[in-house]
Amino acid sequence: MNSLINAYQPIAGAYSEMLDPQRAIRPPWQTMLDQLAAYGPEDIEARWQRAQRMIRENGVTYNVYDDAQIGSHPWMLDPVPLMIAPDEWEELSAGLIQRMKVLNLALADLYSDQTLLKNNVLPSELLFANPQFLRPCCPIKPPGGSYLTLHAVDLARTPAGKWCVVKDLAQSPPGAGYALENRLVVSRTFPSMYRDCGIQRLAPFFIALRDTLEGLSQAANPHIVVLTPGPHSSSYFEHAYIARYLGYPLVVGNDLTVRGSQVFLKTLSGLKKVDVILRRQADLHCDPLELASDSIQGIPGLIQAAIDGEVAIANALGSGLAETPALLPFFPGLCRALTGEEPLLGTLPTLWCGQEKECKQVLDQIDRWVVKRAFAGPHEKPVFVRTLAPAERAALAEQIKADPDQYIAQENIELSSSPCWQHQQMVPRHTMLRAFTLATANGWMVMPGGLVRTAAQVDSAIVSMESGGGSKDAWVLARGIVEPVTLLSGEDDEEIHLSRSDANLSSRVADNLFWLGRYVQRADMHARILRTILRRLTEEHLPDGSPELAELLRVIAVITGADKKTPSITDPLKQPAETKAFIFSMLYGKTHLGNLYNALTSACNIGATVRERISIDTWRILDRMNNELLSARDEGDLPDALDMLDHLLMPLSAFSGLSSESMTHGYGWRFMDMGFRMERATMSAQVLRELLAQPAAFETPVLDAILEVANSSMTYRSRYQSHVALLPLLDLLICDDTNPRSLAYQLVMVSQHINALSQLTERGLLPEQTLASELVSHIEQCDLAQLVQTDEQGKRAELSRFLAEINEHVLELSNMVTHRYLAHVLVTSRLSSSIGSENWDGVEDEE
Amino acid sequence: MIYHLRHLTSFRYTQPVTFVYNTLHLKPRELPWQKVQSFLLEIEPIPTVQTERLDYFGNTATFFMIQSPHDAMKVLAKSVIEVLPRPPAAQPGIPWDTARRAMRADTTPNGLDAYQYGFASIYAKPMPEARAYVQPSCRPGMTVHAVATELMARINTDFTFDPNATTVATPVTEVLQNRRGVCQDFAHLMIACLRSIGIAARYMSGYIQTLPPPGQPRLAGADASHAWVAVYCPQAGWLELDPTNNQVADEQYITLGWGRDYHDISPAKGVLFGGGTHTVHAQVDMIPETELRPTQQRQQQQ
Repeated sequence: MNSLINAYQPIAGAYSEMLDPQRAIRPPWQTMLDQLAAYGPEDIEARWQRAQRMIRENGVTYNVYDDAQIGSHPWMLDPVPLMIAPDEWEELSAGLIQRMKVLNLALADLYSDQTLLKNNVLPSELLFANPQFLRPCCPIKPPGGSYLTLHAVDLARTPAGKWCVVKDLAQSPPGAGYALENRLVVSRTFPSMYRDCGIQRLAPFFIALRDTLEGLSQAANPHIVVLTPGPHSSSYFEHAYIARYLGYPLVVGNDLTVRGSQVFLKTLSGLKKVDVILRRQADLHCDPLELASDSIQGIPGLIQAAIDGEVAIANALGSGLAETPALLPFFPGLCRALTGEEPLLGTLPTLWCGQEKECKQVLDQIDRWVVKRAFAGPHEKPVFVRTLAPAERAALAEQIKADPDQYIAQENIELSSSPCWQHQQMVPRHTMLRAFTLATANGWMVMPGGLVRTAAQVDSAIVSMESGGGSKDAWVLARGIVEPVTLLSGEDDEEIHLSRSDANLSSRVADNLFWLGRYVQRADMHARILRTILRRLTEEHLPDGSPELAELLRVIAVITGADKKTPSITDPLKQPAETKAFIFSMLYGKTHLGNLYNALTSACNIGATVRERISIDTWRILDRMNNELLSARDEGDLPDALDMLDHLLMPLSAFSGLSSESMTHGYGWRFMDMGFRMERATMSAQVLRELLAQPAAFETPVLDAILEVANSSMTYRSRYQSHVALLPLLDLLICDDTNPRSLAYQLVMVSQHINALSQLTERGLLPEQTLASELVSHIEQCDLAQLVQTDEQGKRAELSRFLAEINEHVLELSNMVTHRYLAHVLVTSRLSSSIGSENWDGVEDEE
Repeated sequence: MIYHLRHLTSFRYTQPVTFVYNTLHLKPRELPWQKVQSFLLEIEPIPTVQTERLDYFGNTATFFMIQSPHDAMKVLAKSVIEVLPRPPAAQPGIPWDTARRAMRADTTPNGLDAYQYGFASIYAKPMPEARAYVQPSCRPGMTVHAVATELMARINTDFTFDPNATTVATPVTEVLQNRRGVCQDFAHLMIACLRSIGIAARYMSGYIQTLPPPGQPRLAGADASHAWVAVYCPQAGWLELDPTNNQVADEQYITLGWGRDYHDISPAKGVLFGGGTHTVHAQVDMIPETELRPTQQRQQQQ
């Protein structure tokens, strides 16, 4: 007997996936459980902690729609896979393939001749009252008649042990990417268990997906993109993940444009024709000209391009129709009418209330049912009638009676239960399986595995990520020996390097990378100044009470713009409460636009939108920085804050090093580094100007602080071995182009980037190239001795002017670059003529 | 009656526009009672792409895009059209309260085509307010066409034509409340009312000939785009009713096409990049051939 299952009690009344009614382990589970038991509870727990950290650091998230505040949730994965025997899987696969075939034929018919309506196979209301039936899509003839390239089905197992369909996901089936990530995490966490169980690999399915997408185009080397609604969509992580795994650019609607009747990607080097779109955006939002005209995410003219056959879209525009919940009860009829076969895979008993007899049946015993919208969008929630109060039940019944076409009712079955790992033991949870089928050029293929979802509590039947449930990997046992296959260097290796030339980089991504660089550097500068301040406040420093403290506090107030709002602190050591409050507002304040919190959260938000473009390690660093700041309690003490900054500065320093190591030095990296350098140049110039323009009576502590902020104390000491003096300091921080913190160094780098980018335009010498190189020589050749002279008011006016000029020129460079490469984003508006009244101003939209 | 039709739509932008994507429904539909003798579409600036296709409802849709910067755009549709009297209903209609059931059972191509106009669309959804408004006209035994004709007359009496009261976006509920609007609003209201009691109705887009006051000459550009309603009764077929003028559509009406509502058949809709704000000006001349002056006749024939 396996030690892990001694205390395991399956849910009464539900089919138990792991144990048979006599508590014997079902055969496909045996090896896996033996292996798991061999690890032992402590080791499982330890490995699982590690796996969860990996999930969090990889940024595997799921955005919950209802709650914009909560935002993205970490992906919940359970270590115990759902085991499936090969015979059972083959039977299930045959049913899934048949289902996809039938739905594809149904789409082809409903978007053309509609014989299904004429022959009374389907009630015509299912089409005419259906917002997913998109009439403008009728003329589109998808390549090979393939409306559905990828199809997913949510399956439940009845108490009798039969798999049946609960729901179809036809327009851009989510979950395949999560299933792959689950596989990678579980296989890495329990390598021997994964190896010894002999399960079927997922990689061939994704290889086939890639081949299929390429086959949708006639082009020899088709350009394929993944279209996402953006970082706010519930499964954005997956869109980015799939894009990176398959090696396609991830784009939003605004990155694409229709010219002529072809679709193009707007890139740094101009427009690049797109041949195939893997669509993860709802079809209704794909073309504001023909579909939902209030959509801002769409690509005007896309439908025309699809009609003209200039672009293939998978799944086809309009295929959302196949996931209409009200179609479920009609599937057997569709199957017989379209293939002449009996359905191989059952459907969970479902009634459409638009039929009189069925509606009566639902209303007669309403608490038996789970009520759903007949033409639901993807995020409609099912209503478990038996959980409703009597008054709510009556209200629901009235709603159904008033508009019966709009409702379906599904039988409320006891979902099967599978074991989940919790508190070092296995506990049962209700379970559903999402399976994926692919229509390849040579036939259909089912992903051997899938995305398993489990309920959050033992008594909960609601199985979804939205309601806090978890996920699992599904392991389908192989017959015979398993050959390793992968798109990557090895299945156990998830690292993916950006190896492709990125002249095709979309302008939007380049813009985001530029700002990512700027925000990371801004955060770095803030953290260094604040750390310099905190060290002086918390460590025994100078007996005279650190005269530079007030100056440093003023600098941070100036660069964040806080100096205009709050009175400055003139004597920090005598105003400890005010000082602490001010420092904490600079660290954690959520409403201060220029502060550290703001710079870091901006960096992380932007990082999330370009995460398929930065390496996983770089992403982890961003995530770690965010966590350092979030986990710090803002009621802590000053030494705690200092501690936090020490922790924060490590990943911040690692960021630039790592990104230059692990990102290919293509245009994307150049934009990021250029943002980084420009920010560092302007911030440094500003700090120097603020601290040196008006020399203090005793300047040495200020100069020490400057060296500390600029992280150049060590360099200075090794070079001069003396007390710090102004001229050598300025030489090190302004003119010395071998010091990676100097102004000269930043501008040399910016100049290099600008020169490299100029190859994109083929227009000869560009004005920003001239400006950048002039700026470099201006700095390298400046006469420092002259600059540090004080005027009759005792001010260093020359130095001040010089630094201000540098700042202005860097801003000018930034504007020039932005204007040349990134000014693709255009404002759209709608055009409309009106009837009856002669004129109107076009500022109003149609809707 | 033969008409020479000229429909000019001018768009002016406050800032240059770089790209325009547009779908037009400006080609009059060929019908048993309407013969399109000639049709010409002129667009300025010249579009990069211009294609014609039949839309789902059988109307001609023209897609075009312009790729060069411009600050004004003109769309001119010219046609010569013969309109004949519409044929009378072949059979008497059926009572309004049996129509839904009869339509549901009719899965012939014609029956299916008509049935789709009984469902909610963007601008004309069945709703309790519309149902309450139509209720007094729904008496036992009345045919679909009788109910619709009475509804048309009531809308015509109860509502004031007021071009300043509404925009393209004004919802039916607001029109019902304020009792003012233009032909498009009255058509949407009437369709919503009919759909609320299970009757299929479609939105007709086209033109109506305006007659100058007796003794006065026709003014250039005085005619207008127009919208009215067609209502379906099993057995009797479609009847075209104009709530704005309280009359059955006759040879004074040129049909461009139809859809579930304005959204399906708007004469021009588009997306443009840049442009700031824009103004639209439409000018329609619908001149009976008998009234053409000789010079005009020559021009039109060129």
